[in-house]
Amino acid sequence: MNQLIPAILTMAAPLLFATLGALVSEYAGVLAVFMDGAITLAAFACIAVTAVTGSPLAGFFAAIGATVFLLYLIARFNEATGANPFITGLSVNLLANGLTSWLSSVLFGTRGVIALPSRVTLTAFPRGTAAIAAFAVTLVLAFVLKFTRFGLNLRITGTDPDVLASRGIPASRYRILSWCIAAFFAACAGTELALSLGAWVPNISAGRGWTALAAVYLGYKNPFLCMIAVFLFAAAEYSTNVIQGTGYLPATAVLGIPYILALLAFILIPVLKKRKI
Amino acid sequence: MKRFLIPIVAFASGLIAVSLILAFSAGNPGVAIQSFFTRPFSSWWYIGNTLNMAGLLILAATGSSLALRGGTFNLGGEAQIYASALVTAIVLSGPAGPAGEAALGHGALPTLAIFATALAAAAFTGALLAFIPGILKAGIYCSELLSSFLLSAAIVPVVDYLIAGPFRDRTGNLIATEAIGKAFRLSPLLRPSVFNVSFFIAIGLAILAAIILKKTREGYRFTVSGTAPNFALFAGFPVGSVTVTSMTLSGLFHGLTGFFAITGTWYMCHQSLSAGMGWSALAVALIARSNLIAVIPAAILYAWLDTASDMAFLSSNSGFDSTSIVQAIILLVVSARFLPLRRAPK
Repeated sequence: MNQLIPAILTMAAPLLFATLGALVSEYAGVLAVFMDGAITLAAFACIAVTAVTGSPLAGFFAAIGATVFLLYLIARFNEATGANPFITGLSVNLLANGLTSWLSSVLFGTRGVIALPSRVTLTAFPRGTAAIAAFAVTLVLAFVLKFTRFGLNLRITGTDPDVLASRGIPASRYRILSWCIAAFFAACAGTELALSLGAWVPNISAGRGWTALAAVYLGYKNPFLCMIAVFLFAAAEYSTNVIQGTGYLPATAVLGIPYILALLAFILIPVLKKRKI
Repeated sequence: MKRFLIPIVAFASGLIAVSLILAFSAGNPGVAIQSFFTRPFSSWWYIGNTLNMAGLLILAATGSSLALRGGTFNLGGEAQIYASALVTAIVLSGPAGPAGEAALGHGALPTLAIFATALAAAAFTGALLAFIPGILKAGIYCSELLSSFLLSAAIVPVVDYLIAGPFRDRTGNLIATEAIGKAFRLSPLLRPSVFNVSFFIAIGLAILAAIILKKTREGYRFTVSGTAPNFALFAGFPVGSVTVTSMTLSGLFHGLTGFFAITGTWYMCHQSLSAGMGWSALAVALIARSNLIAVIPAAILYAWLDTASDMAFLSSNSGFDSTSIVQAIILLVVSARFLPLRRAPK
């Protein structure tokens, strides 16, 4: 038990970051479907820069820079052309797979694992930092969303963009900003995954981006309920790891579990909501 | 002319992306780019295989377009193709395969009946995997965008496992099922390529679907429910059942794609057989603006782009697959509703 809770909390950290990002985008009415790809990209940028500079901190900032810049451009594209944000978000996922595979073969001569050299000690982020940071950020975000003008405007963007427009505030600005914030959180999640592993591996996000979207709905778009949903998913992830270790379930088929969990969440929530009414 | 603008820009961006990737990664970009433009037309092998791929894409993209026309998005194409390909391979290699023939005796089961069973099983598998998100949308308003994608993402690893585990042909090194019986293989029409009759079947089905949508009362209800659901509800059209039908039909076409991929192209189901075909189909459908006739040239062009970039990367020895980058860029561009050539009046 002494090991169980810290293990689950550590596992929850990247998912919590991703969920917060998805939550902000959902409030703005443009769900961050790109979350999974953005995590993969960020993890790659982090490891690539850390491997070159030897500084995990530089890797972290590179991950933020690359991810936020890309999603800013795509959000601007959405607004400029009236593109469907769901499809452009999906294209980010495809792009992340292709781009990381290409860059890793061009820059590192491999299409598989890029491990950090052992001399790069990960002193910049002691164990547990990410988990503490994630919980602190949840508190801050909950406060910002609930009590600040920015939070109010963001929530109105999703529900009544016309109201914002009538007050002279362009809703598009908030939609773009929400994707940048989501990209920032994706970078946090990606960095945490990559640095705790000390390497980049293809499909490093392993469906976490999608689980994050499910956690947003499972948590009724409330930051604290979302956090509980994240713990549930992290506990589920922990137990699938244990099951995988026992060999009862085939390792490849286990890869589908996060998606099934997310799907069940999406199916159950409307059913439960109806009951409540 | 205006409606051709986005497709043209989409293909042009795909071409530019491939050229840029080649320029930065190939040892000799000149040779790579030259083979990009010339190799696909250099022999019947390339031409036939490109057209064959186009045939599969036409089928799958017809499915994606039918979903779009009915007002839904089918994002589960990958698993629908992959799972039905596996089902086809199992049916055609099990009792009908070499092992079955040895046990039951040659010709114990009539070839045509088995072929038809495999076709029905593949179509059913694809249709079922899309019916689930369809009924969830119609019944409990669960977004089919998410549910079809998530279901597909969950099914793909299971199919991977089935191919590597229970259904693997242990005699070979390839992670694949047993090969299907020779009697079930569609004979190549342009040797040495695998180009076969499925290309013409695909075109025929796309045209048939276009005619049904355009000329029949059901087709009219279908498209109206898809484009203007509120108006359709007001007119008393069965919008919910159109949602389910459009998804199911879309899955059925993806199932047929899986069936022809096995019987006409690969003859066995290997791991990651669908290899992004579901996404390519969606890209083609969006390029064609879900017009079922436009799907045909769009799929042929797309298949050419795909083969050409494969050739270029092979000749450059980088062994890299640009498919997903090209898919991403084309999807990004075709998702645009308009191009901001002039600043819109405020």
